[in-house]
Amino acid sequence: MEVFNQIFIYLALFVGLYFQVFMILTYFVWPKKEKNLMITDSILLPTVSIIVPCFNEGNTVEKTMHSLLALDYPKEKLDIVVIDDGSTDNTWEVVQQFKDNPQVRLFHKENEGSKFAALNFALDLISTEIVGCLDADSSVDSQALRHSVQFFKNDENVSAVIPAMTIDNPKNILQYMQKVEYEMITFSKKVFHDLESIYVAPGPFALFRKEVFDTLGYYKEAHHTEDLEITFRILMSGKKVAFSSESYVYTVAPRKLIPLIKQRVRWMYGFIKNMLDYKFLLFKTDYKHIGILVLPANIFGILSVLILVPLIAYSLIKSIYFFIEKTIVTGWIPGHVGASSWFFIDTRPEAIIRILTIVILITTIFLGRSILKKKYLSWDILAILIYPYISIIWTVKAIWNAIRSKKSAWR
Amino acid sequence: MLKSEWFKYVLSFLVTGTILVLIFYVSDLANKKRIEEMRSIQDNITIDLLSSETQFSLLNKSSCTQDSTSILSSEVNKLSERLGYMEEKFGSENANVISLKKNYSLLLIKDYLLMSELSKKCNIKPIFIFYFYSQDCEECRRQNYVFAALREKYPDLRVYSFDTSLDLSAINTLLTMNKVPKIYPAIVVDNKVYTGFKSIEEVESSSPELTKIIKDEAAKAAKAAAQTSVKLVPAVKGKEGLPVVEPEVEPADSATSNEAQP
Repeated sequence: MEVFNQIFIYLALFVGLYFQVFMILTYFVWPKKEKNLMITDSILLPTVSIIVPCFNEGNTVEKTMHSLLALDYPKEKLDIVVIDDGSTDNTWEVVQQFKDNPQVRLFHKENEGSKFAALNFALDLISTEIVGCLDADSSVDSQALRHSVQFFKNDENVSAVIPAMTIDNPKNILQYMQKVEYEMITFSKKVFHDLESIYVAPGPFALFRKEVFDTLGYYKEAHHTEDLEITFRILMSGKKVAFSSESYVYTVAPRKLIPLIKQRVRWMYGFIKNMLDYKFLLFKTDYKHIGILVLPANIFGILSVLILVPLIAYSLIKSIYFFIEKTIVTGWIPGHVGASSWFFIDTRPEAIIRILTIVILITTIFLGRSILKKKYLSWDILAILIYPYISIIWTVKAIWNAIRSKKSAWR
Repeated sequence: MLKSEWFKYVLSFLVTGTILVLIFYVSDLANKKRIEEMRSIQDNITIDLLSSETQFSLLNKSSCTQDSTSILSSEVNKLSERLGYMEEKFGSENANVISLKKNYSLLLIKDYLLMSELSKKCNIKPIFIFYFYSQDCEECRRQNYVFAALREKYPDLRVYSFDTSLDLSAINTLLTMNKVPKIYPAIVVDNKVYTGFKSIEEVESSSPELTKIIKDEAAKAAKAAAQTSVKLVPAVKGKEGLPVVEPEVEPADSATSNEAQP
C-alpha cells in the first residue's frame, strides 16, 4: 500500500510537471510565428457588431458603453446592440442616454433565466461580418478592436478571437488574487494560442465570425456556459480560436467572497457538465492539442486542487499547531528561526518539486505580466497565496453540484 | 495532428524526465552527505570519549584536578539536533535514522559510564538527567521541546535522552537499573524517577544539585558573554594537543565545554 501510494504521488507529480514543462517550452521554444499586419486601410476593416447584454447592471453599463463608443474604429462599421435582459433596476433608464447615437441600438426583452437567450435574441438583429459580446461589467481599451480583427483577416481558419483580460482597478485582496490569476491565465492563453488550441472564448469581448452562428447554429443553454459550448463546436468544425494579446479588456472582479464563489461554481460546473457532453473530445488527436493536452491538463488541475489543497492545509495547520504547542511549553524563544547549516534544508524529492512548482508558477505570472506589458514585481503577487484555500471551495461545490446535477444559478 | 507536433510531446517528456532524475539524484546525494556528516560527528565523539578514557586510565587520580567533566560537548548537541531533524523528515522507521540513533544512544551510555567512573575517582558529583521516551507517546513530543530548550539554555547540561522504541538491550538495561516503570516520558534525576510531562521549571527544580548547576551555568554564561574571545583560544589550542591552562577562575565542579588535557 505504501509503495502504491508513493508511485501514485510521483506519477501525479510527473504529470503536473509535464504540463508545466510543455507550456514553458511552447512559450520559449515553439512560439507561433505571427505575420501580424495591422489593417491600416479602413476600407478593409470588417463590419462589427458588439452585443451588450445587461441584467441589473445600471452601475457599470455606462462605463462599458463609453469605452465602446471610444473604440478606434470607423463609426459606420461598428454597431452596438444593447439588450436589457429584463433588468429590475435602472439599467433601462441609464442606457436611454445613448438612444440618439446612430451607432447604438437599444432593445428590451423579458428575462429567460440565462444569458444565451439574450445573445440569440441579438444575433437575429445582426448582419455584420464580425459579432462580439461585451458584458456590462467590462470595458475595452480603445485599440482592442483594431488589434483583434486583424486575426480574422490574416487567417481564414480563425473563427473567434479572444482578448487579454485584466481586472479593473482591484481594491481588496480577493480582487488582487483574481488579478494575479488573470495574469496566469493570460500566459496560458498565449501558449494555447501558439498551440492553436484555445478551448474557450469567454464572454468579455470575444469576437466571432457571424458565419459561425449561421453554419454551426446559435448559442445553447449549455449549463450556463454558452461561451465554452460554442467554442467546442468551433473546434470540432476544424476552425480555431486566436488570442489577441494587445486587445486589452478590463473587467470588474467580484469584490466579495460569495459572489466570487457563485461565479466560479458556475464556470466550473459548466466546464464539468460540458466536458461530460463533449467527452468524445478527450484523448482525440483530431483537434490539435485540445484532446490530449489542454482538456486533460484542465481536468488534472481541478483534481489536483481537490487533492493537494487539503494536504497543504493539513500540513499548514499541523505546523501551526506544533509551533503553538512548543511555544506554550518552552515560552517564546526569539532568534531561532533560520537554519544554521545546509543540513536542515529539506532536500526530499517532493520538497524540491514543490519549490520548482512554485518557481514555475511565479514565472508564469511574470510572463503573463510581460504579455500584458505590466511591471513584473509588485506586492499584489502575494494575494495568490490565498487562492488554494478559496478555489477549493468552488471546486468542491461545483463537483458536488455536478454529481447531483443541480444547476448553478446564473446570478 | 501533424507529426512535428508529436515531437513536442516527446521532448517535453524527456525534459520532465531529466528534471525528475536530477531531482532524485540531488536528493540522494544530499542524504548521503547528511549521513556522512553525522557519522563523522559520531566518530569525533567516539575519539573524544576513547581518548578521555585512555587518558583517565593512564593518569588515574591525577587528572581530577583538571576540569575534565565535559566530554559531552557541543558535538553531541549538534548530533542530537540533526537526528531530530532526520527523524522529523524521514520518519522514525527509516533504517538510517534507526542505525544512527542506536549509535548515538550507545555513545551517550559510554559517556555516562565514563562520567560515573570519574565522579567515583575524583569524588565529585556531576548531575545526569536520563530522559526516556517512546515513539507512541503524545506527551513525549512536548517533553522533547522542554529538553531541546534546556539544552539550548544550558549547553553543558548532561541530558541523556533515549528512545525506548529502539529496543536496544543497553537502553533496556538502563531502564531496569534505574527501575523506570514503562510509562513515558520518564525522567531520572539524582536516582529519582519521575514519569509524565515535566515543564522546564519542574525539571530545573527536580534536585538541589541541578538547581545549583543551573545557577552556576547562568553565572558562567553571563561571564562568558563578557569574555567570549578569551574562551575561544584554549578550545582551539586544545584540539591541536597543546597544553592548555584554563583561563577559568571558577572551581572545577561546574562543567565547561573545554576538553581535559594532561
